[in-house]
Amino acid sequence: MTLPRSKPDEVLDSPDIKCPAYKNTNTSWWDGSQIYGSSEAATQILRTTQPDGKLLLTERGREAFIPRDSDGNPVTGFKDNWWIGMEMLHTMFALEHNAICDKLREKYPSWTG
Amino acid sequence: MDSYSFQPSFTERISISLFKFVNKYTPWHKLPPILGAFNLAILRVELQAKNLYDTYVTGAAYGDGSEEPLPEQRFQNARNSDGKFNSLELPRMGCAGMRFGRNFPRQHTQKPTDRELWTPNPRLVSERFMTRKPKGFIPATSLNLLAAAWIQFQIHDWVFHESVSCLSRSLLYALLAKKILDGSLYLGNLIIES
Repeated sequence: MTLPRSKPDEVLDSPDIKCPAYKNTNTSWWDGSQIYGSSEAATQILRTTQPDGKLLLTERGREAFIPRDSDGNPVTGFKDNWWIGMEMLHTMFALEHNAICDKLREKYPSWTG
Repeated sequence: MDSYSFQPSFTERISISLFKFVNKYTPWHKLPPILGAFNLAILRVELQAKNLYDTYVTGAAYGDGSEEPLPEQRFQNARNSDGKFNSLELPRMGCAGMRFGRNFPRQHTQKPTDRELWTPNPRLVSERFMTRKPKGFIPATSLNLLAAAWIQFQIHDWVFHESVSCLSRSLLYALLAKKILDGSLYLGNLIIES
């Protein structure tokens, strides 16, 4: 079994030697970064190129799924430690995002995505 | 520049003491709704003041909003995906790639030695907690699997420590479950680090 090791941040000041600090690769804000990604580039990939600003979903009839990359991994903001519980919540939030997009589009047709 | 530390205002400090007194008799959720909401807001201020420790020695790491113009006006009101400019005063606070803060002062969170890290062994802890007892399955009656999913989902929004990218520098750990189970292997487990 292999356990990944957290990488201590470079030493900037003396306390960093004995008590290292660790970088957070996510945004620390509760800002939905697991859905939208932690960089503008990631967000651009996740949101469709359509002007409605919707999140990318693979639709099959009435069903919609989080899209998959060529290895079969989910394409979303944060995909580590994936299991059915994550699949459920990510799908639900993406559907909710898209439903809100539809409502906004209906009420404010001039808005950009 | 000194380390960034949050100082509650005079009014906030008074409110903290006031609600501390009230909460001795009534918890926040049993107060009338508006008062309960104020109670929560003040609990948040108190936690921010006494339970968050910055991991940068100087606040300079967060930048200075007065010197850094917004790259695009939309970030005034809209989310920047990397978290930058969520705080207009300290633009890089909470950004992707910034150090994660702590809930304890740093002098109490020294890096453990490998021996300390593996004591008790995670495998031992897991076996003790997770092995089915002769009594059989004990259901958790206060929560279900959705709670686990929701908490994991929220943590994915919040933090992921940067890990060493190279596999050989991760901890390779031999599964010695049998030995651990009979108690002969508490210390000095097989850790191969190359």
